[in-house]
Parts: sequence; C-alpha cells; structure tokens
Amino acid sequence: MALFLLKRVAESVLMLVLGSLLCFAFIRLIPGDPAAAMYGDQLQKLTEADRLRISENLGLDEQLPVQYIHWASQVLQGNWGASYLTGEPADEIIVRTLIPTAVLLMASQVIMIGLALFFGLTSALRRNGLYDRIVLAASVMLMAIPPFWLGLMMMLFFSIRLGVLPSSGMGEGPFSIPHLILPALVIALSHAGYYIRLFRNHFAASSSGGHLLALRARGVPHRRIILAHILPNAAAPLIVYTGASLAVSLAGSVVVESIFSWPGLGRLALKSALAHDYPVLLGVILLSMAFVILINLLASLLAAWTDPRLRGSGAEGRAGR
Amino acid sequence: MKIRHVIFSPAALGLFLLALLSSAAPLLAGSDPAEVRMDQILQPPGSGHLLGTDELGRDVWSRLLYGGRVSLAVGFLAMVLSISVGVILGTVSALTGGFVDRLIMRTSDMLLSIPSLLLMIGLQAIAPAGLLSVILVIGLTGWMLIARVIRTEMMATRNETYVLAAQKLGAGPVRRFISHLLPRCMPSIIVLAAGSAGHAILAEATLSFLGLGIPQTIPSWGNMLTGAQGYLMSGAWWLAVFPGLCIALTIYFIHVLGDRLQAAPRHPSA
Repeated sequence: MALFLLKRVAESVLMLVLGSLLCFAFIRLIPGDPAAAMYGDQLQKLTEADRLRISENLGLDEQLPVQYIHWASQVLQGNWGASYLTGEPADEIIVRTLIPTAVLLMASQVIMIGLALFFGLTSALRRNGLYDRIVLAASVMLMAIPPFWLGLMMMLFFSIRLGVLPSSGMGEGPFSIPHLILPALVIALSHAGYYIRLFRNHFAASSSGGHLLALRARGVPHRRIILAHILPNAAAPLIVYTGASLAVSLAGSVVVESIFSWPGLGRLALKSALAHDYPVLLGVILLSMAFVILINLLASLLAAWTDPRLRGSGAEGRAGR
Repeated sequence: MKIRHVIFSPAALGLFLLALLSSAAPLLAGSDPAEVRMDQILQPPGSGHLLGTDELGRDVWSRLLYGGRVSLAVGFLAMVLSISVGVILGTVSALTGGFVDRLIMRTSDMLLSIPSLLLMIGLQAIAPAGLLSVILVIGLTGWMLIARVIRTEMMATRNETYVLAAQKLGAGPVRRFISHLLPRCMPSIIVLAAGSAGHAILAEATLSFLGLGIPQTIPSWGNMLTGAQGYLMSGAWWLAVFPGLCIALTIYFIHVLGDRLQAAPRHPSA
C-alpha cells in the first residue's frame, strides 16, 4: 500500500509539473509580449527604459527554463498577477468565487450520485426488462441534451411559465435553496445519463455470478444480498468515477453558472476569457487542474483502500472522460 | 446484429435526413438567413415565417438550415482531426514504448485533468476568431481518450502472428501500420468516431452559445441560442427551442448509432 501511495503521489506531481509547463506555454502564446500581458493598458504610459527594466525584472532576458522556474516559484507563492479589468490580484478574485462554486458542485453531486445509484441499481436488478430498457433509453436522451439548452428550457418552464423558481443569482444570505435548485439540477441531470449507464453496468457485472445464486438458494434476504454483496463489489470503480465526475461537473459549471448568473468559478472563467483577462483565466485553469488531479488522487487511494486488488498496478486508478 | 441493421436504423436515417436538409438549405430556406427585417422582429412561428423570426427579423427556419451546415461540418471536421491525432499518437505510443510512450500518455493524462470546457475556453481566448480556430481547438483537445484506446488495441495487435510474419518478411513500420494494424483497429475507430462527433458538435454549440465559438456573422445552431436567453423573458420561446432541439436530436442519433456499432460484430471471422 505504501508503495502504491508513493507511486500515485509521484504520478500526480508529475502531472502538475506537465500542466504548469502547458500553462507557461499558454502565456507565451498570448498575443503581444509578456510585459504587456502583465501590465495591460498601463504599458503605453511607460518609457522605453521602464519597459527594459520590467522585462529584466520579469527575467525575460533569461533562458526559457530559467524563466519557467522563476514563473513557477511566483505562482507557488500566490503571485498570480493582477486582473486587467480591475487591477485586483487575481488570486483574491478567484478565492471569492470558490464558496459559491463549492456549494453548487456539492449540491449537484449529491443529486447526480443519488440518481445514478438509484436508477443504476434498480435497473441492473431488472436487467433487460421493460424498466431497464426505459431507464437506458431515457439516459441516452439525457446524454444528448446540451447542458446549456437544458438550463434554458428549465428556466423557461420553472421560472417563466410557472414562476416558481428564481432564474438568476444566489439570493440573500450564505445560500438560498430556491436559487440553488435549478443550477444544481441542470448540472446533475446533464451528467446523470452517462453515470446511470455506468453504474448500471457495474452493478449488472457485480450482481451476476454463482455466489449470489448460492446465497439466494440458502435463503439470504434480498436486501442483505444487495447491501452486503452487490454494493461493496461495485464500490471501488464507482468511487473512482465519482471523483472523475467532479471534474466533469466543474466544466459543466462554466455553462450553468453563466446562464443562472451564479457568482462562481465557472462564470469567472468565461468572463475573463471574453474580456481577455489572462491572469485571472490562467489562475482559474491552474487551480481547477490542481483540484482535479487532487480529487483523482484521493479517489484512487480511496478505491485502493476499499479494494485491495487495485493496489497492484494502479491501472484502475485513472479514470476520466 | 448485422452491419446493415446499423446502416438502415432509424437513427442513421434521422442523421441522414438532418444532413440532407442542411445540404439543401438554399433550396428549402425560402429567404436569406442573413436578411435583417426590422419591421418583422420576434414574429412567432406560423405568421408567414415557419418557425418565426429572431430579434433582428431574420427567418429562424432559414437560419436553422444554414446553421446546420456549419454545426455539422465543424463537428465532422473536428472529429476527423481528433481521430487522426488520437490514432497516430496512440499507435506511436504503442509501437515505440519507453520514454516516448510515457511522455504521450502522461501528456494525455494531464490534458484530461483540465476540465475540457475550461481548456477550450482558454485556447479560444487566445486564438483568432473564426471557423478554423473552432475546428482546431475542438479537434486538438479531443484526442486523449482515443489515443488511449488505440494504444491498448495496438499493443494487443502488434504481436499477432500475422503482423510478426509481415515484419519478418521485411515490412517496415509504415507498411505494417497501414495494411495490418489499422484495418484490425477500424471497428474501434468507427465507434470512437461516433463518440467524438457527438462530443465535437456539443462542444461547438457550447462554445458558440457562450460567445467564444463561431462568429455571429455565420449562423450556427449554437450561436443562434446566444441571444435567445435574453428574449425568453419576453416570451420568445421559439428562439431557444428549435436550435437546441436540432443539436439534441443530432447528438441523440449519433449516440444511438454509436451504441449500435459497439454491439455490432467487430471482426467478420469472429
């Protein structure tokens, strides 16, 4: 287990380094020179001597690897540059959006996992029956609906036609349930189709086998077979996929937060991309990458803890879409 | 399930019909999709315009037909790009092994750990606006899972006796790839292509809806929805409903087709 842990942690660190290299390349790809990327419109007010000094201070006269190390150490110290729009430090703007996004993601995960567990299990137990086929057909339809369109349609129905749920913002106070319902439901539903199918197939695989037939023949109650034999056997892959689903939901939050004006990380990403506010955009991308790598690491460790078979190769530990 | 059951399925027929309607756009549209008629803004469906008009008085039916061309073409080209990159990198990874293999696989892991939409938004923010950027960005961010599947298949295939025999007879890596390895992986590639096309069409629609995709001057199903949210409140539901329905139908047909292909026999001999 210790060796497995070490291997997975080393893998995650390597991925972070590769990712930071990509982000560094991203800065270089931004049209214009990096000094302009840092100081934006204020650059025009500077003299030629100032510009030279800036590019010396930024280490732009150094070799690329030196520049990368310099940049990476700045990022690790939390110096993410200032927003072009407001001049505030990028990290402060980003930190403000974390709680709303965390609330939204938690709510949508609970709904989505609940739906996937319920429909996955019930339809795996009635394999190939009418119910199973209806659930599968419905989940393919859910997979086909674009999340942003689902958001618009739910807004049209619940906020405009029925007028029962608010269509934008977070409401007063720390968080209000009515404001949360539509965005959380849209994220959950737009990924539920995929996960219902996934869970169903895993449950179907773990609910077939001679040992279950033997248990049934011995008169073990149905409920006990499900809880003590089918669920634990399917637990490990489901934990890994649940971890991966957080990453997917984070991407979904970009669309949903923009539609429902939810003041979170996703809306910030879109706003900064549309306004070419690169320091903020890069910060959001770096942070979500680190978050996803961490979640995948935790999920694979948790899966290995529940299922010793996974500790050998670590091959099952990586999941993603 | 035979292969003809896939080709003559309702889903394939539906997809063909959507493609046909879009290709025949100039014949069926009736009016210019870009024609602005300020005297006919936000007309509901039926009133001289089959599916109504938008906030600039443009005919929604015509824009839907012309938009289909853009959405389907962008989706298809991005899919071709993803598949090409994925197949090439997956094969290189499987056949070379060692450092190159690890580099390609870790890079793909890394790209997978950035939520895909954030990655595309980031790239679109620095790319010049236009059709080509959208195709490149979607195509070049969608190869990772394809490469992994192809790598696994190639690793299983490269040591098959007929491939080893070809190698002993002097066939180089390119020859082996084209005439022995690629045909064997073709069934998987077709299934992956279906998944990739669905992903690409959704990605184009999402980016265009968010204002980071196809420029507003070219109608696409995605950017027809950009302004629609603002007019939902004033009751213009047709602006949001029809383009979204087209996207959902297309992706649904592609998913069903992909599922059917997956269930179809992989190898004629098996």
